[in-house]
Amino acid sequence: MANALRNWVDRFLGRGEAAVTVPPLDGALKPNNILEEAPAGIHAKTPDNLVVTTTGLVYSGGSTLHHQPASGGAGGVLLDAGAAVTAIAASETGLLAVATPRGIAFFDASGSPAAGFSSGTQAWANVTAMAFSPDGSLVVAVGSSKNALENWQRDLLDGERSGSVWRLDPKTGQAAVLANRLGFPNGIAIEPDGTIVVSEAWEKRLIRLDAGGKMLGQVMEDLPGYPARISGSARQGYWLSVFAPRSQLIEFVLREDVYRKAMMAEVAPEFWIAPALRSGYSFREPMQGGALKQMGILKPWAPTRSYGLVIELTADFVPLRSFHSRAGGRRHGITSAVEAGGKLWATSKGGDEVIAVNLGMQGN
Amino acid sequence: MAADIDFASLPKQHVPRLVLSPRRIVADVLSKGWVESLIPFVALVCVVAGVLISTDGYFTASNLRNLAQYAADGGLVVLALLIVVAVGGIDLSVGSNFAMSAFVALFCFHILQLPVPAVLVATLATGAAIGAVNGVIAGLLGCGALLTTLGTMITTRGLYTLASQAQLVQISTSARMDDVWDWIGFEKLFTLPVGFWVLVVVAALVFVMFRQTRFGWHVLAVGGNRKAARHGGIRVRSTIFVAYVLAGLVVGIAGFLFAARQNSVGSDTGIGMEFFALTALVVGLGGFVPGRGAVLSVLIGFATIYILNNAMINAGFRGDFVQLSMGAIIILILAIDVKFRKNRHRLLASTYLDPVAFETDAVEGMRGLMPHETAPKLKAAEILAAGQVDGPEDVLLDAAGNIYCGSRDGYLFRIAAPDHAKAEVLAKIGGRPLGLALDREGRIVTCVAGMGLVRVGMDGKVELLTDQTERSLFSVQDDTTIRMADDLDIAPDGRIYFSEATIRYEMHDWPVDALESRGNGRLICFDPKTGRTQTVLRNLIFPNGICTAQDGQSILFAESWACRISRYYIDGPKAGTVERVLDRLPGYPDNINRASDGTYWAAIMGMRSPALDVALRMPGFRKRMARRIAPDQWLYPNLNIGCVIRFDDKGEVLETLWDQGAENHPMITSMREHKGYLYLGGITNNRIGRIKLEGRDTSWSGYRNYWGRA
Repeated sequence: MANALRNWVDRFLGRGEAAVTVPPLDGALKPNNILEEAPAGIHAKTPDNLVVTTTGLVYSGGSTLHHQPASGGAGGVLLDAGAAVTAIAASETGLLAVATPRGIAFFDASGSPAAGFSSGTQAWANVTAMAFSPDGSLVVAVGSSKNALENWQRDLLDGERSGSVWRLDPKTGQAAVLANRLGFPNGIAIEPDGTIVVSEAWEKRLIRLDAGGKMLGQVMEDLPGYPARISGSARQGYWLSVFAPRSQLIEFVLREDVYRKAMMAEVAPEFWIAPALRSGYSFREPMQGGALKQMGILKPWAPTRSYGLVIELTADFVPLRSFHSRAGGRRHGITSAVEAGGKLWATSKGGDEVIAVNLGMQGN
Repeated sequence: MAADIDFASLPKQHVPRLVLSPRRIVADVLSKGWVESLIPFVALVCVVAGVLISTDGYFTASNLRNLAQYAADGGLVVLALLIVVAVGGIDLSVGSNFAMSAFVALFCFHILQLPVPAVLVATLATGAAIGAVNGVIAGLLGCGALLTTLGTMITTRGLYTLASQAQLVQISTSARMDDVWDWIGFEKLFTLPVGFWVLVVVAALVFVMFRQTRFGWHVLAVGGNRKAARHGGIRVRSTIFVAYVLAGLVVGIAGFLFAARQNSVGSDTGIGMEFFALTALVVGLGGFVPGRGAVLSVLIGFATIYILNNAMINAGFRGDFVQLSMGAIIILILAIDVKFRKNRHRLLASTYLDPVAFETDAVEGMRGLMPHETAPKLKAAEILAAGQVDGPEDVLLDAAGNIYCGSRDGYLFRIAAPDHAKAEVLAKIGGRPLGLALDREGRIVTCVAGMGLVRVGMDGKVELLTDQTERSLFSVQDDTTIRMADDLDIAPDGRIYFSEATIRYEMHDWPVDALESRGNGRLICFDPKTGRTQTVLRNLIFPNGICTAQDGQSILFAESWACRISRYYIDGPKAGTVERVLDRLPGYPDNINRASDGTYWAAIMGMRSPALDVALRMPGFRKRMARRIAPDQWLYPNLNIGCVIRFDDKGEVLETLWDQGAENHPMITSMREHKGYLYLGGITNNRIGRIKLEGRDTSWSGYRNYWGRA
């Protein structure tokens, strides 16, 4: 009763759960233009997951995996998985796990199928991220059991919490669920002691699970955007990709059921009031007041549905610095970033580009 | 051409005559100045209601007359205090002054046996003299008002005590009778006591003084900000001096009335009066506020205190209990009032946006004309005077091909033909010049947001044609002044038709009007022959572009948020009716202008986004959005990209010009055809665009088309 009353008061006054405040980009997250101004990268169609293997970098784009030397230079197609690749992971021994809607397949560093590994009988749909633990098992994040991954906006707007995290033994194909009812787990990092850090996109936070899947706590909360994949940095810390920004309008629409349902029923998904990997390509996209151009110029702090952001974290998940592509930029929708060869490589899924930022030049 | 068209086949466009919205009324009331005294007024109503419930026969005619009789001197003292407080001072000596004036009146009447008018003059002189002492010390010499008037209070009280003790016996034994004296003291005029009428007259005079006279304004200016008033050239010290003298004079009147009524004074006359008056003032003004001459508010405050006090004493409560409860009630009223004042603007901000459900129909009549279906012709637009103009909402060309456009900072620029390279100032108008038109004499008539309708000669002479129209009958908001004049055109007989896009928003936040999607705009006609301004259509949804039709019988007007263009007949058998020409546009139409082949160009200033179309159906969603999230996060119409359409009198869209990638010239609010070229203006642009049109009459100019001369 008291709870219901408080919720009602909160809704009336816009407090608590009903507040639509969004954390500011401040401190280590202070906006810059480093991602946007980085030299022209590799053009790739919707590059998504980038990993470091024993021989260089591998990134997925559509149904193919591309190989890219970390020192720069020309890369090439590593293999074609036959269906859209949704996540990849590389082990220290050079084993490559590739998730598609058809399941998880294993390849060796040269791109040929690796024998002796299996993903078991499970269907493995909607895998968003994978990581190998030191013991050789594969931790798998399944974004949603309700919506296909390309309908992630619907998953967010419907408030789904149907994601899960699994542990798969590639040698036997046995899988066990570690955690479920998660809001779109979208990235995995294994800490040195074997605990698992998962980015839970719809909750805008990173959570820590022990090796058995018990929730230990939140390591980061109330992020200013929707987190994607996590990778290790050369300084024993992490790189966190943030694939879309939060905005007051979206938070507000999430609380407006009637409007939200009508919009989802009548409007094409790319024109929804929802976070996006790219924006500014059509005049049918929703526009917010602050995005009104003056003298033909869009202010970089204008409200936007898409953004490019990579955050460097310490080993304790404290933000150190961040790289941005701001409103009106093109290198938006960063879904993964890895450090290799003194550079930060990031996939801009919205901008169809793999970008390399020279870390040596940025200082700290 | 136009004559072949069967206009009867066009559908009627309904324009509502009256729109009533409770939310809008609340918002309009909240934005009124007089709502400041809402809480004192409510307090008075509560007190009156409380007395009505608890006391039988309090508000009988005889008791009311009695109340009015005794209210006069207290009310006058409150008014005197208001004048002094408004100028930024305070007068503690009003009580002593009151007693002294009353004594002087009695002395002059009974001892000196002067005629009543002379008694009045002497009394007023006494009051004014004490005021003058205050004025000299506090005003001219600049000593503190509190200390000064404390001093005069004690001194005057001392003088009064000395004088009254010496003369009291003689006064009370005097047997002088005088008809005028008694008339003032006891008679009634229109059933109410004379003294009360004096209060009414003085209150009216003070009201007029603060509202209408130069001195009253100076008083408010000095009280509001003494330094600013001095910088503004007001003689601060003498203004303060005169305010004190005036206050003394009003107290003198009060003393005279008291003397005529009571015919005696006592040692306690006027004791504590200053604090009673101050309390009434504070309740009325909601605090000790200099620079506010709110006569009605302080009288309401006075009535509240007076009736409360009177009713409680009448009810037989003990004096200390009355004081205790009075104090508590006053603190309560003040606490509520302060809270209300502090939050009024918030309440206003969260209720001001008054959205209405608006069903946007699916786009129609644009088959084959949408950007993905046509060549992006505007991508090739030539850019003129880039960086030299700031927000050319409209562009205008004279017969010689010179371009004219307004700017955000109130200038009217001329960009000379033939190279159109340099923008030079033709006139500084002020405001925000928007729509432009050439009249028969070749002068420019322009709609200036924030000013009204302005005419500019080619010599740069600026002349205001009109800035007011008649007030709407059923509107709380005073919409007499034209605030957002947008576009205009001139009929063959010289009448100027222009649109006021919205009466609820200003130039800086006009897109917010789209979130209301309510008929907030109007179509106004100014006739230069008679100088008369008249509203011809109300409740239009952001009326924007105006164009006299090719046949001169009607004007076309665009209603932006309604995505339609309508026709209003100004002459002929259908004069006064409205017909729909074009609706279900994919965006928001802005300015309309004639094309060389008898059709029309219209600028589409922004495009509809499907997410906004859904929101337009849901006023509650937009209301909550306005309350919950910051204005720059609000869902807006997409005004970053637009296009140009060409349509005919039948309402058929014939051609569209796009810049789909928004690379070169995406923002368009106006366009003019001139000698085979189309010139483009945009309200947020820093440039003028131009494209060459294929297969058009290369000798056609707007001025000749309108007025038949080159």
